[in-house]
Amino acid sequence: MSAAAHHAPTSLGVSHYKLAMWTFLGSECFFFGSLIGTYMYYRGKSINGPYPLDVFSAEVTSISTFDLLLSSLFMALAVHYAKENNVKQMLLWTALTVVGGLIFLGFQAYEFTHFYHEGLTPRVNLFGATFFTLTGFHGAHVTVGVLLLISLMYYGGTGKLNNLGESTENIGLYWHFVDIVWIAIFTLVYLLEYT
Amino acid sequence: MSASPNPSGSSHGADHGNPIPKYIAVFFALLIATGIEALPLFGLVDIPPAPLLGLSAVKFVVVVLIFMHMLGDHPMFWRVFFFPLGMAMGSFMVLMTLSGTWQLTWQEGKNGRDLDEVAACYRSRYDGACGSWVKSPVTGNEYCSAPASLKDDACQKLTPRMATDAAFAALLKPVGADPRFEGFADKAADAKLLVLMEVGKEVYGGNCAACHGPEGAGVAGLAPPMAGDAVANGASEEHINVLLKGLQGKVINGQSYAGAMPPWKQLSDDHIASVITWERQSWGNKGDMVLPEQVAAKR
Repeated sequence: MSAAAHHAPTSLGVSHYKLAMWTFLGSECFFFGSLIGTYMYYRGKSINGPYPLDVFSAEVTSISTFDLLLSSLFMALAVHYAKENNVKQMLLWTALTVVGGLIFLGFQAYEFTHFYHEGLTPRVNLFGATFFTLTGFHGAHVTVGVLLLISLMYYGGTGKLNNLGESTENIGLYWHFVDIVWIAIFTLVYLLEYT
Repeated sequence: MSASPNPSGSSHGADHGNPIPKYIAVFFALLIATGIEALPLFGLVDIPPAPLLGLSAVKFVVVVLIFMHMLGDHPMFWRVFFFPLGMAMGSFMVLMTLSGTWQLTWQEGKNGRDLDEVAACYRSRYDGACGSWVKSPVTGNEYCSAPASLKDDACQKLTPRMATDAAFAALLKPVGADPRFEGFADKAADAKLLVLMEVGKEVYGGNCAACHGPEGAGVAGLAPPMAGDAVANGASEEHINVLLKGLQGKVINGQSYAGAMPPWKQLSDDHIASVITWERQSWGNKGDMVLPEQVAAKR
C-alpha cells in the first residue's frame, strides 16, 4: 500500500507536489500559530471598547462555521471523484466547495463591515488589531483557496492536468487546512468569550 | 464508520474502498461536535474552556486524519506537518506561560460574569494589603497611596476581561461628573493635588496600565515607559497633547515604540488632568500638577 504505487517514481518515494503541499501547510502552522498566539496574548487586555461581546454575532459565526465545515465535506468528495477520474462529479463538488467558500467570505465581509460600524477598527484597541489581523489573514487564505479551486475547475474541466487526482488532492489539502484553522479560531476567538 | 467494502475499481480508490459513507459520517460527527460547541454562543449551556478546547482539538485531528487522509498515508507527510505544528503549539504555550496569560485563560472560572464578586474583591483589596493609607479630604475615604501591582492582583485573576468589561468599568467609574471634583476650583493647591492623585491613579489603572504598565515600566518596542520619561517630566502642554491626540512611532533614546496610543479625549477634563498629574508625580517623576482648566484650554 505504499503511496509510491500511485505516482510516477520519485527519489523520495512520494509525490513531490504533495510533500511540498504538506511542508507548506507545516509552515502555515507557524504562520497561524503566531497570529493566534498574538491574539491570545492580548486577549482581554484591551482597555477601551468595542469588546468582543459588544460586536460578536452568535448567528453569523455559527452559520459560517457550519458553511466551512460543509465545504470541507464537498472538497473531500471532489477529491474522491477526481481520483476516480470522474471529471463531471469532481467539477460539481468543487463548484459546491467554491460556493461554500464564497458564502464564508460573504459572511466575513458582512462581519467586518458590521464591526467597523460598531466602532471596531484595527487601530481602536488591541482586540481590533489582533482580531482583524488573524481573521483577515484567514479570510485571505479562503480567498486564495477559492481562486485555486476555480483554476482547478478550469484546467481540470478542459483536460489540461496530467494528474487530476493529485492536483485536486493537493488543493483539497490546502482547503481542509483553512478549515482546521477556522476550527481553532472559532474556539479560541469566539467560543472562549462565551464561556 | 467503516468504509463499505465494495471496491471502486479505480487504481486510486482501491486503498480503502468507497470512502464516501465514511466522509459523510465524519461530517455529521463534526457537525454534532460543532453544534455542542455552539450551545454556549446562544446561552443555552455553559461549557468551561477546557472541554471546548479538547473538542476542537479532536475536530482538528479528525479533519487531518480523515478528510486530509493522513491516516494510512505516507509517514513523511505526517512528519512535515505535525513536527511544525507541535513546535508552533509549543511556542504558543511558552508564550502563554511566560506572560501569565495562560493562567488567566485557564483559571478564569466564571470569566467575570459575576461582576459583584469582582467588584467586592476590588473593594476589599485595599482593606488588607496596603502599606500607606491616605485620607481623602474630599470624599473622606481612605485610599492606598502605593500603586497596587495589577499583575499579582487576585481580583484580576477572577477574570481576564476585568479591564475590558464595560459593565464592570461602569461599577468603578462614575458616570457623568466625578463627585470628587465638587468645589474643586475653590480648594488650595495641596488639596487639589490630593484629589488629582487619588482620581488619577484610578484612571491610570483603568486606561493606561495595560500598555504602560502598572508601575509605569511600559512595554519595550510598543509603549514607552512613564517613569523618567521626558514628557512626564517636561512641559505639561506636551503631556496634555499626547492624551488628547494620541501618539504613535515615538523614538526615545534610540528605542522606537510602534504601538498606537489612541486619543483619550473621551475622558473628562477632570480625569485627564488627574491621570496626567498622577503620571507626573509617580515613579520618581518630577513634573508639575496639571489642572482641568489647562486640559480644557488645549481641547
